[in-house]
Amino acid sequence: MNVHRLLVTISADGTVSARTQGVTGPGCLGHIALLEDLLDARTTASEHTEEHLRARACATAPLDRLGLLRVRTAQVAP
Amino acid sequence: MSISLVLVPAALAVVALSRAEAGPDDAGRTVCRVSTRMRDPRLLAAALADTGARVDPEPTAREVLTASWLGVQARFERGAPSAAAPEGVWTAHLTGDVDEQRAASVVAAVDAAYGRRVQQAVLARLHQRAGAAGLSVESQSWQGDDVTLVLTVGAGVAR
Repeated sequence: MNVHRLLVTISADGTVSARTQGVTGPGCLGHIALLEDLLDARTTASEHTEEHLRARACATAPLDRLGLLRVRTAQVAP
Repeated sequence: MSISLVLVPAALAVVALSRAEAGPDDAGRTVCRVSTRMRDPRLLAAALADTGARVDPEPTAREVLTASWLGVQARFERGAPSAAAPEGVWTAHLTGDVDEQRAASVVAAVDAAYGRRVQQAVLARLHQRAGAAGLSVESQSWQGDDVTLVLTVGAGVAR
């Protein structure tokens, strides 16, 4: 069974960066709200990881609607 | 599908420190004003104390905080709400042995202390609430001043 993980780094300036690991399918979008609630924080930037861009496991529309997505097209696998 | 995120805690406004601007007050004294990204009065008071300031009053008066160091006094006032900071950010008004350069330096030191306080608060909140959110803390490690936690997503959490 695939283990789902969240890697969260809290910097000394108070900002937070987070990354999902091992998550497949569009359910990972739920982790955005989960983290925002858990940390009492709001997302100011997001992008799919290289892992996702290879797998293309789900549509990007939900993130686009949130205005959060910056797809690094240069890293999309052929 | 994996994503990476940048999140800003509620205690921080998504704005940068402003440049210090000097001007006279009603009594003719020179006042240096610096707008900050700080929003939480309790963390601000703690950060001021971390820099060695005497803070008066305790952060029960939520709209004004005063602090003093040797030769420098600061009055922190909460600014008007904006899109970036609906509750308003705190602006520092510094007087005494201070010019724009020193004012910026003082506020930068307070901002750095505030960032560390926010980091501690977020870390404590994460540990406190992870279980209820269906997460378990697998590991925690420090690299320099930054701390990284690996959280395992448990059953019942959206995947």
